Amino acid sequence: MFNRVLLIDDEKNFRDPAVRLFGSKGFRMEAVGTGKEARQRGKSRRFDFAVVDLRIAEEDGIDVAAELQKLQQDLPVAFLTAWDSDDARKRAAAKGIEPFAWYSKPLPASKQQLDFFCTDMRTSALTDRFRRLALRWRFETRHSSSIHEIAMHPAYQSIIGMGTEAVPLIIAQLRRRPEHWFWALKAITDDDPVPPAARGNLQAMAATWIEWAEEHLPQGKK
Amino acid sequence: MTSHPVTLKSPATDAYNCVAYAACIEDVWWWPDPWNQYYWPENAPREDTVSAFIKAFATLGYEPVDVGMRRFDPNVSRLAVFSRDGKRATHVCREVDDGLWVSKLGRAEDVEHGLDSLGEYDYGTVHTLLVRPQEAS
Repeated sequence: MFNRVLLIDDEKNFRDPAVRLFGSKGFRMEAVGTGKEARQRGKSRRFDFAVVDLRIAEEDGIDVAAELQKLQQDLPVAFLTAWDSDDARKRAAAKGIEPFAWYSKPLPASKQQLDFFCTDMRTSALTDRFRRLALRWRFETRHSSSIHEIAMHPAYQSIIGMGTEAVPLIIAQLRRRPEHWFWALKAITDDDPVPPAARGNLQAMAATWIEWAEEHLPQGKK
Repeated sequence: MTSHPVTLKSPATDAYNCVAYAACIEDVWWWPDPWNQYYWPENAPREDTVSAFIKAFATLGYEPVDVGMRRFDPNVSRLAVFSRDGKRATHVCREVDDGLWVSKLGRAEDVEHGLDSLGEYDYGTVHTLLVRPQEAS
């Protein structure tokens, strides 16, 4: 379940209600008010994503996010800010931080808006984590012929660990170009629709799995 | 003998790997994966050992020779199987001229290189040389 969230915000009046609201939507929240606490949490446990206030008690949230991503490779990060700032976006880009979202305070007031916000936040974070893992996997296994080495790469195994939620993301990758997602698809779905004659032919394998997705994935996730 | 530097010969592609490329195949990925998802010659054991690779290429007429026999012979086709630990195969390349070999580097590019020029790719060292008469196919 992709729901462990680290919230970093020094405003208790924002932090406590946010923890209650997000918690009510199924997120397992941990909230801290300083960069130091965030670093301690980042060292001691793993999170699925982090939501970081841009200004935390005289610290730059971008620096805190950068340190969290050093502690937890592939950690998706979103920034919270009371105002949209081109300067902040430039500073984040300069430090190699690509947030999956910039969220404006305050949080949505109505239940309907909050439901949409939480669903969108979770989907965006999940997609960003998949993207980060896939990039690292591609780069670090690019010279390997061994399917065992390719599939046992920690980033690839983390994608398998994302479970069925990773399947639409993998299928989307296969639609772009055939890659070695077949081990992951079999591991997650316990299925393998590729006929023996197509084994090793990545174009044909990808086409078979895309066809499988048309039949097995719900509308909107193909 | 002077070793040839590594020279890129093609764009990167996932369509085939070093094992297929050694067999002159460019549209299938060969590997003896445990789930039988990739191509592997039927009569060879489905394991990534050097001995299984020798049996896989035996289906194409290759047989092992002493690794010390590095003399080029235009009438003989030669392949080299690499290993890091002396047991599991990591890479295969094919000789195309005296001291000049070609490889597919995993999902990356095809390259020309010397037999001793692949150190940066973590394939280990040449474990086995395989030969067959050039006219065989």
